[in-house]
Amino acid sequence: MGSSSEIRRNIAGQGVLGCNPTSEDMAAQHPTPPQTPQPLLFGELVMEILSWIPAKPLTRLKLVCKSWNSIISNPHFVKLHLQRSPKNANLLVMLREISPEGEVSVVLSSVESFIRNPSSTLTAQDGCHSLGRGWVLGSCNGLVCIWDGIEDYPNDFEFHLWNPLTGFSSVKSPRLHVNKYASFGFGYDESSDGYKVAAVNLDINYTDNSWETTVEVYRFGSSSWRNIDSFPAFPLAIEEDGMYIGGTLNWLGLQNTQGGVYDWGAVTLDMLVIVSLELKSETYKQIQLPNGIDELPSHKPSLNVWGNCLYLSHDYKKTHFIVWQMKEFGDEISWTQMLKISLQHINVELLFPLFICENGDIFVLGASNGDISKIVLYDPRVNNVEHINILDKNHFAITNDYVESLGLENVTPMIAKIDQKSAIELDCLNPMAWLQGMDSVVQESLDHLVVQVENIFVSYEK
Amino acid sequence: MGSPLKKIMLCSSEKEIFSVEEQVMVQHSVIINNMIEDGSYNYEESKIPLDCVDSKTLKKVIDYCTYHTHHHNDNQEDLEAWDAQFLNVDSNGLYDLLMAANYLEIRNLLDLIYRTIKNMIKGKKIDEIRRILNIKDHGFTPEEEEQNRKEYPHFY
Repeated sequence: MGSSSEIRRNIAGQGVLGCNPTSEDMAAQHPTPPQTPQPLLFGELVMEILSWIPAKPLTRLKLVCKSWNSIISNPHFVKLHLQRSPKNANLLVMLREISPEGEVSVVLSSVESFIRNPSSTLTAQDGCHSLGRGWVLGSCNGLVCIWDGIEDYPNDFEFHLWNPLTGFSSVKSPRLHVNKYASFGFGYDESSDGYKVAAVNLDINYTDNSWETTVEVYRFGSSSWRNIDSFPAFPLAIEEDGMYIGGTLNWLGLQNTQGGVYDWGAVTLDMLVIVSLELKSETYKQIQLPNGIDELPSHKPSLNVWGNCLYLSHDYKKTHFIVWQMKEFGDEISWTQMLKISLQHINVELLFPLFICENGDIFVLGASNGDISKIVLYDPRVNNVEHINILDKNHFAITNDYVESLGLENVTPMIAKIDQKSAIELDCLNPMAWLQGMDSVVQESLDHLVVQVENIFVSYEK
Repeated sequence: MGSPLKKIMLCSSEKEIFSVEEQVMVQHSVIINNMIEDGSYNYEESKIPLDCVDSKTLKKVIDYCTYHTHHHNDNQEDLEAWDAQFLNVDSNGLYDLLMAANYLEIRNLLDLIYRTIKNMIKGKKIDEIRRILNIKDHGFTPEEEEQNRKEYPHFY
């Protein structure tokens, strides 16, 4: 028997999942005198139970007792909890008014409720947060990366992380000055346990029509932006953010350009490529587009990530809308055409994806017809099209994958608490002792204790 | 895999001996399965000492394992009803079962208990959770507790 079992052998009656009961209770319940209580073991079991509870009610459970508070605040626990949070179950939708002073707001919603009723989901005040003039760059492990413009400096930006559930925000990144054309991406580098922002700057010299890129990376918690290798292609959709999947950020690019500034009309199909920046090594790879694309679309394709898949969507001869799914990220053979639908059938001029179900059961698409924007729900199983007029013409929506998590305090020691009301004081008692315990005993025991109760917790709240 | 007829002996903290079909325990308890597989259990002489499991709890654990061995083909609803009845114990009884299931590594029983505890605290106020789980000493200083109550009155 391993050490964890030896320790288990020594457990004696403690309070139920909490601190020790009074000696009277113990005498009444245990005729034989109890042996020394093992708080670590007790911590292990509580941790196991708490790790399956969704993040939102969990923040409240910190108030139950000090040991729960310590467990829930512990970075190891935060990670364990994140691993067990339901994936692909939630979305973060950014809504923006289209106007120079456009306000940005963010709505958190379950995928289920977004699909069932996008209209009421997006207009609900509950779970809606105003970002002012900030912008959601992306979301990863429950943390949302927001960039803020700086008044009077239109080309300067600052970034910070925000956990909408706990209300915690990180301090801002150092200010970044970019060129007129720049694209950003946000993701997590598991190897360094760090959250990174990459900024791709496109510098165009109009006199000789040449261009070059500079790429800078910032790791939250560090003090400065660093230059990395330049972008290995012409950044095609510079106005779109890099898409995070599997430790990489992905953009569309043009290869083998002959110098010059490209407009879409000058592009040929063989020039199109996906540029993938690995956050660990900070090096690039290229991913080929699906073989099945035989003709250049009339508009730039778009790249998206939902769940574990990369999606490429584009129009075909201006008459159809096509969606490709890369089933195994990085494996070009796994590109699969998920959807080809006639625009006439849907009665719109242009479509773009807002959410795609991994199994292809439902497509939530943004549509525009002249100056009217709306949402189209398409269910290919029954070929059902539903139009929902929710986005008035002054708004548009961008959706991101979102996982509920407690995280942030482990990202960087430099944390600013901004939202007193929704945040509960994070107070970790003697974290060193706890960590040592984790490493030697609890972690080992946990490996034995994996239980399959994930689904139970999805419907925990309400 | 143990033979269905063989019996093994389990010894509670009160030194009471329980004779159980080997297969029942081997199927459910990782620890006992390991002992049988690595040959450390001697059928003639061994009793497995369970110093931290009292007789009352051990009897319940054996009931659970026996029922689930012989009724694993029953429909889910019936099993769930039996489980609910089985766990209809007070919080101290639940705690003893949790510790025993953890010690013996009976994963489906652990799973059941975790779910039960989770449901017990679901949607409850802090004071109710403390009462349900018999947490008498929350460990906060009176000042911290007062501050928390003042700051988040709706949670209490």
